[in-house]
Amino acid sequence: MNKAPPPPEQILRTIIHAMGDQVPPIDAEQIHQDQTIEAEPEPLLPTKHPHWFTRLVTTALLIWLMVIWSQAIVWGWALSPLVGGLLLACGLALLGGFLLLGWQARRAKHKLDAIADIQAQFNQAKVPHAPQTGVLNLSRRIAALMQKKPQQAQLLQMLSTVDESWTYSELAHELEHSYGAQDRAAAKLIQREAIRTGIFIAASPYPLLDFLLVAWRNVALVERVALIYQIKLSTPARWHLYQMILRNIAFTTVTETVLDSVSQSWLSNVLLQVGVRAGQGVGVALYSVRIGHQAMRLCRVVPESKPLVDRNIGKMVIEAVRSKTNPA
Amino acid sequence: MVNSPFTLKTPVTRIGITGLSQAGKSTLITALINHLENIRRGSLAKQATLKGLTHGHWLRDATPIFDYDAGLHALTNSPPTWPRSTTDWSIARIELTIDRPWYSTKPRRRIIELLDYPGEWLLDLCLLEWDYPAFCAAVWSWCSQTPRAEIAADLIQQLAAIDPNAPVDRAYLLELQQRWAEFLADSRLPPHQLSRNLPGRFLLNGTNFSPERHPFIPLFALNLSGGTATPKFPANSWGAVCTQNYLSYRDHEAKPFFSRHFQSLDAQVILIDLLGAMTAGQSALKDMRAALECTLQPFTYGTDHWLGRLFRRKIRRVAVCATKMDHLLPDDQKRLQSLAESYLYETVQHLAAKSIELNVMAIAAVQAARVQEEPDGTHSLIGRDKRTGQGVQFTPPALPQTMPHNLNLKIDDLPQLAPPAGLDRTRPFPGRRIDQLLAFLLAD
Repeated sequence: MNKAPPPPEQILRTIIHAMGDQVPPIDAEQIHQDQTIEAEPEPLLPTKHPHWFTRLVTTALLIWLMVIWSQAIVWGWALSPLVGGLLLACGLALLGGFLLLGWQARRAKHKLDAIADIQAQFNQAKVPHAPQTGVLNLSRRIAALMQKKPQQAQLLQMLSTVDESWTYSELAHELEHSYGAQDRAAAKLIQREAIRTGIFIAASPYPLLDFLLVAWRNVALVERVALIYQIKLSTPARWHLYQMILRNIAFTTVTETVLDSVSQSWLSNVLLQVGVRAGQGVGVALYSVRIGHQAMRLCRVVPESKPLVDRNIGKMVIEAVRSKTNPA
Repeated sequence: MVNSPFTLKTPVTRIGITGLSQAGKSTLITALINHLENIRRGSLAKQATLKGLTHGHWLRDATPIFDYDAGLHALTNSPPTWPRSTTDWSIARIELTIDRPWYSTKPRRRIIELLDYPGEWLLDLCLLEWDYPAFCAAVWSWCSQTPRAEIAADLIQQLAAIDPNAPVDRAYLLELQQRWAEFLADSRLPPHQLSRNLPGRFLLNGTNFSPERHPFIPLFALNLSGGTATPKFPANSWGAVCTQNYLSYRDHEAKPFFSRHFQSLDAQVILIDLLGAMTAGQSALKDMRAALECTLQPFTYGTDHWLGRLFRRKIRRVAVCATKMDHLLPDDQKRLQSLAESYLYETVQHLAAKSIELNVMAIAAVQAARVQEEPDGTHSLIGRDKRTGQGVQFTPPALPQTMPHNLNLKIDDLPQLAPPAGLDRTRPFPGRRIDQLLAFLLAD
């Protein structure tokens, strides 16, 4: 029997266009210019390095508190050993409490940092030609984050089916699907809270009340969004969101002041005044939507592929505030 | 930066750059040191996992030291050339400074050790598990087939004709050993570019090895006779001398090389010149894959139990990197990665089953080509040919998404490019995915 001839090789041909002096020279500078640094996703939280002055003040404050406490113990001991012991115990209990709180805050921070890191990994994998390996490790990290949460059982079950053959986009898609119910609940909450805050502001007669209302509703919104996602917000994350809330409050206060000063002279028309107040309410409501949206982004391990909060929510808020403040 | 009094000693991360000869290990190590020296510049500064690293510093205290100066000189020279092939093993040590909060007890410094060695010697890891008959059997199975059977038909015939039980002719043994070394050198050069060239030190001796002192050759008569049991050779016969010298080579060269350099790695980079093997064709591809599978066998992977980790270091991260991705157009660069995954499917599966972090990627240590857009919208690459030193403009072929199962694939006329002019130590060399590779290897 004749031996079958080997199959012909599949030849991939290179086309040489030019050689020698016709080809422009290349250098490293040109390649540097060509290279677009693969964009790192915008960090969820601004990176903060404590200033040396903050460190100094904190250290001084701690030393001062320790000295005061020691003095109090010595004084109490001189008065009666019982009082001294009581002061010592109280101090230790306070210290223990603060350490516990600090430990919890640190854990929460690590968790949110891990979420930000996972999101960054997903975003990096979206870059064209990015490696698609390491999905299994990522899914294990996500599973470790989600443990001890009965509400995440479905998510954990999905993660247990992930293997190395999965791509990042497949994992992201599945996670998006798992987050569906929570996303809907959070979006609904944000919409409701934003409209409510907007109407309060538009209808409120006192500037001080506006200030308190915005602070109260926005803080509640952030907490409730975090609750929906079963995430404990860390101090830096909370502070970042509270900064946004403060900006919202500042917006309310400034518009209130401008409105007060302008209405005396220019806005004699009542309808116009009502319109301007409605505008203020809409502004506050839209900013509340942004705060809620940012809180949602912070709490999810997967970056948003489509807008988490409906783009039409702005229109809906405007409509709702307008209809409530201008029933005619 | 001063460590906190509670800080433990500076941790050392040992990274083995594993690759066959001509895979680009020395260039990669030079590029890695350069990127770490410029850690706060370029794309490395944007890597979220490395944000704590503030400074990288190449240390000159390693013995034997990796010749970074020579690598830099070659790359920044006019005209620039690739760093010369490694002739002996060496270590590159880089100290990284880490920005940590004042109260942190974690170390503020970290040492990265990168191991460089001749790729020829890596193949000797195949010998660790083989006795002399197994060595002869393996070499016979390669030499009885094309292309080796054609490259050295006479030599193979002469080796097969030797009676292992006959008294040894020492002068003839030395001559055959010399011819065997020449055959190995021919096999690894184009157009064949074969990888399984054993023993590795016959190609590159190193400082303390002299092949004449303990000569041996494979005796194919052992395989032709069809015996399976370990044969007993009369004293001073061809078989006895070759067995004794082979075992001496295995136990005093190959085993110490592995235990000294590879047994205590934390991470491993497996470099493959897939495009280079594809230019040589099916035989080179098959040979390179078999060589890689064989050399990776002795490594211990995985984290296992914490108690086990106390006593034995194991590789926790493995990056399989297909080099020279810059020789392809951007659309094909992604395909090179999937092609590497499909080419090394069994190896990747084997590694994925261990409890390690695995990453398969395509990289270019120093980018040597630039994409040129033509007026008609088509793209080509421009670079400088390594052999002629002249500029070359070419369109590389479009790669298939996966490797054919029989590896029947060949790239024709793909130019080998020289590094670009204008490289400077004070800036990260333009590369592809070096930042991602470092971020993967150095992540806490």
